[in-house]
Amino acid sequence: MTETKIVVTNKDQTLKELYRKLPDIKSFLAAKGCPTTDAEDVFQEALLIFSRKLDEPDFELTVEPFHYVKNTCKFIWYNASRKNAKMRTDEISDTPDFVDDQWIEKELKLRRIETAITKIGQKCQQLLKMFYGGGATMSEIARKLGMRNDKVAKAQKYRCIHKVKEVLENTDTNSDDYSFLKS
Amino acid sequence: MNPELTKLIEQYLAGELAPKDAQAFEERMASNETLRNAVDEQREIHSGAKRAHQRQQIEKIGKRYHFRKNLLKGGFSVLIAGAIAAASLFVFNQMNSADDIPVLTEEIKSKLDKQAPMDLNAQYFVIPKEGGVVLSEDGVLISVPKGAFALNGKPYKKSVALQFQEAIDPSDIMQGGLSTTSNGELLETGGMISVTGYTIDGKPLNFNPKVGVYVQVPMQDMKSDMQLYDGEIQADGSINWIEPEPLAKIPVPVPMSELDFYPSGYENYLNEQKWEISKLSRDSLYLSFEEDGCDKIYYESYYEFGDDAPIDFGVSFQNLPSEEQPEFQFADNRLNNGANIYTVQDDSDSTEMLDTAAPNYIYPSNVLAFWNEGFNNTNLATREFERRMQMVHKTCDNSVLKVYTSNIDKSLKECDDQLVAMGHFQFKKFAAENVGKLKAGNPHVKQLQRFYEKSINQLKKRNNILQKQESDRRSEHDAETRKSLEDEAKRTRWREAQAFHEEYNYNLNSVYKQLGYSRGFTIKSKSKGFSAAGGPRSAVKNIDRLVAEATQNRESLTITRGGKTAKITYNEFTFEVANSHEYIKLFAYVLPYELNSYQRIEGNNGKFSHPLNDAFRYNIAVVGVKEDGYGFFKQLNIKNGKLGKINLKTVSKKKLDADVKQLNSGRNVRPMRIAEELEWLGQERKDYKEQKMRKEMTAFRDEIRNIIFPCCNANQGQELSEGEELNNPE
Repeated sequence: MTETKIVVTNKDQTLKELYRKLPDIKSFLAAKGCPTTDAEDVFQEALLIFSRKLDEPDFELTVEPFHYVKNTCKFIWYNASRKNAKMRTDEISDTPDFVDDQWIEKELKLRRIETAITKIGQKCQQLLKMFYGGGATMSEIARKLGMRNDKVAKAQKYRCIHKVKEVLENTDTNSDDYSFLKS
Repeated sequence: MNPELTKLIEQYLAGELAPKDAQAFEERMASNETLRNAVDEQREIHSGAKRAHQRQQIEKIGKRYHFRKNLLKGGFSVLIAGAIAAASLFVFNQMNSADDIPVLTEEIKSKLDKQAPMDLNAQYFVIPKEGGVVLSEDGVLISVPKGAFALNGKPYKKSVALQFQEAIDPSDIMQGGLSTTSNGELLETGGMISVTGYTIDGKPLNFNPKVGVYVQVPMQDMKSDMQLYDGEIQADGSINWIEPEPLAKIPVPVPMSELDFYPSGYENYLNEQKWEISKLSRDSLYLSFEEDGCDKIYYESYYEFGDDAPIDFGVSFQNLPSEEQPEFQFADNRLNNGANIYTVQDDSDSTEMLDTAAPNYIYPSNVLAFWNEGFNNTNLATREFERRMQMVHKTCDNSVLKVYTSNIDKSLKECDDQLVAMGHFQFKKFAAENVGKLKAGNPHVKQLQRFYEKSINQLKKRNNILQKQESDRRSEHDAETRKSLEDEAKRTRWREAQAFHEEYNYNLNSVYKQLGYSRGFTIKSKSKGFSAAGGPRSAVKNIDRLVAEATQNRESLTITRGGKTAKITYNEFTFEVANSHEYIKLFAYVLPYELNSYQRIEGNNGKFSHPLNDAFRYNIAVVGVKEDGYGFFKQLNIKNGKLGKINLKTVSKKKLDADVKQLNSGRNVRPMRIAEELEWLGQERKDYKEQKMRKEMTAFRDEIRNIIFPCCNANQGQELSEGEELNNPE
């Protein structure tokens, strides 16, 4: 079959629709030994990865979004359980081509940084998320977070980044992060 | 770590350094790995922060999903209750209108009941404002599009409470006291229905003539001159049928009930096996393959009888690479006792290897969901589609089926063409037939689409429930069996220890007596002067050790010390049970009169040999467990001998119980724990049947799987369906 390119026009809507498949994912993962308590976390991680992948300029989706997310879930779960030594490594031998496993590994390394970010102050977290994720300007941030002006916000940003670095320094730098799974 | 450096890096990354400073910074970076790493790390922190922000969005979607789902549950409860009351009643609504599906209160229902035009039970459906399709108890399909009703001459745009009455069967017609006269003339009727729309708080609505409600009534046989009459309620409550209109000409080639959409060979095989005839059973069986697909499901445990019985796990491992073979654990270590339990380790996840990214079979739910009267009068209820369906099954590609089911409003020809364009060239011959659509532009067909999707989910749910029930039942059985076996092992150890201990003590005392020692005499180790009869001279053993060995091996023993000789004698005792292969389990209980303990011995292919201690008199009982009962044999007061072939008498469990109790009552010692023993034997029998059933079921399911999912076992499967056809387009 010629590779069809699937264009996602409304990402938010697509993600909402995907979320409705949570029960399917749960049973799919349950069949692979993933406890239901973890399934949604795995699913959210996969959705996040999918959503971020869509933002990549040269990314072409060749399978249905659900298919993509489902396989990403599988990949994450296998890796997580492998990390927990629940499974032998040779069992994920055939990942479908469309699952970019290096990308996912990279994503899961970022997850480690996300975890570090959650360990700094609430205001710092908001500031970093608003600036790097929400694209807010320093003045907007200053207004929203009740700081005197953009200069204060900016100085605060340096401090926040520095705090994250400190948290990271005290964690194992080589591991990617599966601690979000409860079991 | 230096905060100033962090700041500098931030400024560099933000492009805030002056060009000269930036250049200097880059030069430093080039030669300084630590700096490079620090820059990379800060870049990653930016990405991480962005990711954290994006995660919030995903989590928000998740929260909203759960919120809506909970709302949905609340809103649906009344409808589900309705569905339970009427077993075959499906109520489907558009999911995304969940927020505002109102509930029809019981109070209003009883008020509307009084207004119902026919003296029959009324069914109620709440149709959301977007419209919906419902199916009545008798299979009448009612499609209510948006704006089907009017209030005060204006289209009513809110949810509608639909009151529905049906008298399709002649018995219902009579029960309802309904007449079939039209202005005094008798009519032949194909059924009577009443559809009334109300607002949720019970105000009557009129039909909106521009949209209307589409009603499809199932017919045994369609008479071409049937017409639609309006019912006019007379002063005396009877109905006069007036203003006949010809029925809308929707061709009805074949009702769904006459079509066969199963994979070819499925029905034939089941008929051969004399399997249940009802479609419901066969649907359920077909549906039970929904989740497994090509995967063979492993036994959770396997229990085999007899040493020489081949160990068959009911699954073939050929499909698995050798290192993927599931690991088995022995639940107990009585390997040579004939009863072994193997447990597949849960975490080996071996079925995974059989899973492929794209399922290569047609989902049963996707077939069954349209195979019902709701889809009569669509393209799918035609002989033409029946023939296509056979080909669809052969493609093993669910997306092929989807092309037909998601285009009910299009002609079969259009679907055929689409499939050929997708590379399924085997559909070319169908495309050439040029089958048109049944009825152009029927607005209600679109609604069927949603009905179909919901049906699939319902079927899946139904299947999951059934599967879970069976799997729970199996686990429970396995747990019971394991428990029973463990208890039995415990009892056996206790019994054997007890029997040995008593007999050994008896033998030892007897030897001491014969040698002239008094009871309680102990022999120091390495004391000289004793030698085992026939043993090598140098072997100096303690008396107790020799007696223990003889007791254990049930061998005669002679010990001399000075002029005195002590003897323990074991006499040969053998027998063989006739037709031993008929028994699942075969045991002999050996009960010496003189001891409290008893022994249970197992034969070898029905042959038993158990030397008896000459000092005792024995009762012997032989118990055989059969699939349909027990066999029993007893002989009292035995000291030795070859009994030769013995025949067990078939007895009921009660009789066996009584027999064994009687055997004990003759002894003035406490009886053996016969209740537990019988309970265990009962469990063994049950388990034998269970395992046999599972094995047969697995074999049966393997056969069926090969029939219904033709791509599962053959290697041709995936390569052929996608690759080759594409590379060789005719």
